[in-house]
Amino acid sequence: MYGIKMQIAEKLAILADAAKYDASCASSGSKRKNMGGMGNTEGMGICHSYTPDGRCISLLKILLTNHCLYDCTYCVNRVSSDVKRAQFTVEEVVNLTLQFYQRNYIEGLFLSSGVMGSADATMERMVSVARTLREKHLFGGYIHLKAVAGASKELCRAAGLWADRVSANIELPRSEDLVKLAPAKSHAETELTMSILKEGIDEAKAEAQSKNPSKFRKSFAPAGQSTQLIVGATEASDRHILGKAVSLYDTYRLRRVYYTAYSPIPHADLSLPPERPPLMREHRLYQADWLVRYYGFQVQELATETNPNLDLSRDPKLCWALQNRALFPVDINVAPRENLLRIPGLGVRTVERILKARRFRKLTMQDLSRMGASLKKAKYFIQVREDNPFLKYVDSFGLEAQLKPEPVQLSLFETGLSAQTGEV
Amino acid sequence: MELSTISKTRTAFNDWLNKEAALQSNLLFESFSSEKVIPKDVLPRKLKGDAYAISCYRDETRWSFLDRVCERISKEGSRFLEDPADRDAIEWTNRLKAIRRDVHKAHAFVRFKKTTEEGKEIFIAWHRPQHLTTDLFIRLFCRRFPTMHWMILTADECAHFENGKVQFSKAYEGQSLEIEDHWEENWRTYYSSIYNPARLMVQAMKKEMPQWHWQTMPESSLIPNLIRQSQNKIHTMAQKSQRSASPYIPTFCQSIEKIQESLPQCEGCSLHAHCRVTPGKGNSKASLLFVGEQPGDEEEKRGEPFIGPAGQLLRKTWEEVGGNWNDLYVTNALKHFKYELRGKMRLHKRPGSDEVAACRPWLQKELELISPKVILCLGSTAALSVSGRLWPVERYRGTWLPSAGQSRILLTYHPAALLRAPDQKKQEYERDFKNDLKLALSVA
Ligand code: SF4
Ligand code: SF4
Repeated sequence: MYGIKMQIAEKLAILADAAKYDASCASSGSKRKNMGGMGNTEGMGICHSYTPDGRCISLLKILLTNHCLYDCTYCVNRVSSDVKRAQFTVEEVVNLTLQFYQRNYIEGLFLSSGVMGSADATMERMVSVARTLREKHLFGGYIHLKAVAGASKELCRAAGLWADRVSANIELPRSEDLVKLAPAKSHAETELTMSILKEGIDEAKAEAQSKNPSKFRKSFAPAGQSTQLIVGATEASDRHILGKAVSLYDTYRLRRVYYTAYSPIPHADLSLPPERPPLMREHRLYQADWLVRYYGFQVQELATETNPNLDLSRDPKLCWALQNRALFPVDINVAPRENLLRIPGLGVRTVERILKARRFRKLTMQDLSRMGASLKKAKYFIQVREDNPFLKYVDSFGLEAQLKPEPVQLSLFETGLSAQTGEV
Repeated sequence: MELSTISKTRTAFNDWLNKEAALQSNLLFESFSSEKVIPKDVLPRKLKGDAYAISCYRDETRWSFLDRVCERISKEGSRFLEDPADRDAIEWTNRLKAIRRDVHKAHAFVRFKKTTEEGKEIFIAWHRPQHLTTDLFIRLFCRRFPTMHWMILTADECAHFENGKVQFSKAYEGQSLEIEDHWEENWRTYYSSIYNPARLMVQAMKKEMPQWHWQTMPESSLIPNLIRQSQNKIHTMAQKSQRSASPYIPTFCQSIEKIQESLPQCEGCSLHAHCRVTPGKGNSKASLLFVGEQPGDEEEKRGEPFIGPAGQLLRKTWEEVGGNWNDLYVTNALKHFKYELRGKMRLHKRPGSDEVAACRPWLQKELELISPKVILCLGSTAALSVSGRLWPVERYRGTWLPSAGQSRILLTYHPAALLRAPDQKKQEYERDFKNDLKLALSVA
């Protein structure tokens, strides 16, 4: 094996395989005009392909190398794992990106890496991939760089200059779990990186909004930052996980928190669960995350002290409604926006449509169904123009029985979609 | 090849806008209904873009629908289009949505093949849009690849792009596109490596990537196989993760003899089916316990651990450093021999972490009953079973691993690693190995 130069294809197989446990693949939220070379970014993101796991391929998601000094227990690339190792050169990654991009396979590059040599040495090579693409090839596609744990402030700032998004992974929601499973990492360090990035993003925004923005101003991670939380590798409850996510959203203005069901990895530590990843739990977390960010819910309402984990068989909004029946029924034709948003079966878009449509007429059940409401759930909780026979259940014990739990089976479920939209 | 600077769909739409002209000219797709209203005069400017998109909807009623909307606009103004409960408004939105989706899917699924024509680089794609959207979806590619020379072929019309200019020609009638591009192989490699078989969700995939488009996408040929493989993988993964020797360990198991008695019945993992069991052996009050990986060929034949070539090397070295074999208890992480048949030879095969996990309860029981002062792990499999974690031997050998119980845990090479070591490393390995054995002896 040694001495023989590894082919690109072989490296690609190893270093894509090693990158697949990171959920994020979004290419949205950034705009870049074509700079006379190849590519542009138009803000909405494109999923160029879908793999049989229902996930989209938007970016070329690879590691620069899967050699790593560290020993994070949940990670395939940890030093003690006996996977095959490989390493790309900067030029190889640049070429792969351009070749894939010009065939319209991808929107851009998502580059991450194991730590080789030192955090700074690794980060420097990642930055140099991004810089080469932008400066030498005038590449206008999307670039997402993962900040290496412990990389210096200068390098994080440099990453932001060339990339559309930079992210640092929190990985485990509780810092005590990190101490146990990833002794080389800490929340404090990751959050330091996040605050460095936030500073850069804020400065660039202030500059862009100032009265006379400099003509040569540089963008800084215009698609913001994101992070990933691994679900199900430890005992942490959904309340912990969502609580951590919300505090990160608030403190660092993250665009997205990705929840990734822990997947059993080859040659795993025996302390980790060997089962199939808890995909339904992941799905419910995305739903709850969405409810908190766009529907005005508080984490404490969804994952309570007595029930710190989300119900797997019902969506979190429905669970909340069942616990808070006194607040229903809600009158579709007069209720304010924030109350409409709390009705099970109505998404943000349907609510917007209702607000518009009721200026023209009083809405009936049929109007609602045409506007995309899921009446299967909503009908028990709403008043419409006509008499609603289902309302009698709101105050009866029979309601739970009417609203049968969904199977916790995954294949019947569009779990893959919720990761992208989170729409309930 | 006849090239035109304006697309077929745009021409048809312009004709419809100026109905008069349209009625005279020979129409491309089908004739419009003969209404009195002239769309150009009633259609508000801000709706023209949407109306053009809707005229690209592949359906017989597309012109009559637009006519009806224009007629209503001429009577009641265009505000009804903002009413989300109005039938025509809903139809308008739905058609627009279908067009947008089709355009978006084209942006996603068009796949260029790179080739050369008359010495010039050219990128050619064949795409199958659901609607007549060629003129709409190529705009992104014009902005994105302004310096490339490219072509997109569809069964409605073809777009050619060169030197910053786009032109159109007649429909492509082929059923495939025979161009070799070796980068497609790299793309397929990427595609099959990036997905996680533990998360199989075929419905979600098909919904977002309708099979209609698979024909023009190089990666789609891989899908059936990937699905089949991952179903197998999941199945075996689930089976594997459930395996354990625990049910075969008697509830009251208070002696090493009892373990030896019960071991032959173990079906904790699939290894039991291929050979006989080799239990641990030695002094049940030992203060020093050796753990290896698994019995080998000779060990299995004679039912005793550490008597093959590696075992002999261990015994020899142990005596050299002053140890006495009879003071020891020796055992393995796995009690069955895992091998691969090569002709008549049974070749050692590395156990998986699932098998180590399955057999672990036996070893834990032995450790509990003997409770030695020092556990010497020979190789990483032994350390994995003893401590639950993987430790790279090169780095951690000769060090004490963290221990949850009373015993101290030391890691060293497996003697078989010494036998296999490359010549230039052999001496170093042997020296380290000897030192580790000395250390174990001195502490115990
Ligand atoms: S630092 Fe990153 S690559 Fe290295 S072991 Fe930890 S998670 Fe894996
Ligand atoms: S290897 Fe261990 S678990 Fe598997 S059958 Fe043999 S004794 Fe049982």
